[in-house]
Amino acid sequence: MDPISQIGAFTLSRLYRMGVMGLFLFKSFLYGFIPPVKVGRVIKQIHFIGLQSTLVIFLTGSFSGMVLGFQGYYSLSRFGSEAFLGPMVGLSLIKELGPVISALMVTGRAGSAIAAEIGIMRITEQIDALELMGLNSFRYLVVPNLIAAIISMPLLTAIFDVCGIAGGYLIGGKLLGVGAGTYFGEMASYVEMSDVMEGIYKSLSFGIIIAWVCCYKGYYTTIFTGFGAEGVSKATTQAVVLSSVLILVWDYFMTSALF
Amino acid sequence: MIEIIDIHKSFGRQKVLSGLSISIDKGSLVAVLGSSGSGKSVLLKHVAGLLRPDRGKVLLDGQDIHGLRGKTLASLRDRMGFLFQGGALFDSMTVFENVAFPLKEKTKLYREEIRDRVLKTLEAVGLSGSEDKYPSQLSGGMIKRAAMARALVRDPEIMMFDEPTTGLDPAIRLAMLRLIDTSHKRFGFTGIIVTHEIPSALAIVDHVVFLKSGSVYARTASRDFLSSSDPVIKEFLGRDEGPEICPQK
Repeated sequence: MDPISQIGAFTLSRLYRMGVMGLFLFKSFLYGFIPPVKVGRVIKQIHFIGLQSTLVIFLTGSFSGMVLGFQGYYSLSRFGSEAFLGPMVGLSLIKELGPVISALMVTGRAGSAIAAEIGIMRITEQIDALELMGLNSFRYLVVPNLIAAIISMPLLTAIFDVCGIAGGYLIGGKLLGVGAGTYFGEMASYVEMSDVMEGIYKSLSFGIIIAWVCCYKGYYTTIFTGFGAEGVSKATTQAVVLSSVLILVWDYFMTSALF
Repeated sequence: MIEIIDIHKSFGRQKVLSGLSISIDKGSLVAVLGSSGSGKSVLLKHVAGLLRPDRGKVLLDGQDIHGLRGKTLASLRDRMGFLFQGGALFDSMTVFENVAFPLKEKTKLYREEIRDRVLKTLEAVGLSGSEDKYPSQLSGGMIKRAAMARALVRDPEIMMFDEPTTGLDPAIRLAMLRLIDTSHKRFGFTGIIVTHEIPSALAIVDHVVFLKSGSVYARTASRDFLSSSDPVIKEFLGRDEGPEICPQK
């Protein structure tokens, strides 16, 4: 095959995969809106994606806030503006770091597991078995993850924000001497509801990205990433990498739109 | 009745099925034989509607399975059972939960009725006492029997067996074939068995379909297959013949 044909074939295969991925998202929403929704599975996935991620979110949120406390105090004290440490920590966490870091953590912890679980179900023909029972595999495997991620992500982000703000206060307010009144008072003055909503919108869309990409990669394991354990391992890696990249790219577009 | 009409299937440049046609009467049990790579499992997945042919049709009681979608396809599949080569049990569920799953999802039976039916089916396949085990705690033979129980629990009209005895020891192979035979007699399903188990499998089937290069090379009554004078079949039997572990029908 000549190089031009190779480029053409490569482009066509990528476009085909993008089309399949787009249709996957469309079908996920379609079956999500048409009853019956498997409530039991949704609750199970909320437990897995949401509840079981709280410890990692608590830890990353607290330490991110503590680092912001140090770095913010260091930068602001150069301009004699330490009093604005609270708004700086609050706005950074609520608008940006909270949604993004929470999403990256959930991708690593739950997204990879979702891709691997669905991938293993695919290679061991469990998905075929579901279909042969006359059941819709999307309703069982994809929709519950999508709904669970949409519900869990804003809540996890909120926990991350609260822990981060507390961590920032521990360092800035307690250790470095910015008082509680100044820290929280200035934060209340400068952080607005629209900032909070921006974070929530972002976390909602990141939840969709995580469930979409990770379920898709697992579901099409044998078709796009190969067979057996190697196929599942590739699918899991690709799920984490693609979700993380898409989260950061989408974050840029949302920030530009909401700026 | 199952009618497979002129189906063609290729994966990339590899042609797997080329103009394959078979018809299987209601209630009969047919063995599909052939060398590895002759398209046996691919054929079975076409009948189940898991693969779409490039050309041709699969009619189940006159309905083209590949032309159906959504609820119509689901209701047709309600009448099918499929025993996968590896069992395809849900590995996060116990044996009981696996067998109960299709009943919970597809029927309106009460919990007690489901329990009775599952226990009865497990007893029929010789798995009483293994209800609480997970698939990873079962032997190969037990996995296949549990998968068989899951496939049979809704009394399917059409059963497909994809290499039901592969990877099992001789005694378990014989038991598995006996189980298929007794289930067939008890439930009266139309069955297709893809197997390499010769001559044992021939004892329980009505007909043999022999595939070669993706199409039907020969179709005979099971009792005539072993005595066939066709050189291709003789060569196949010479290569694949195993010890006789089950008396001829």
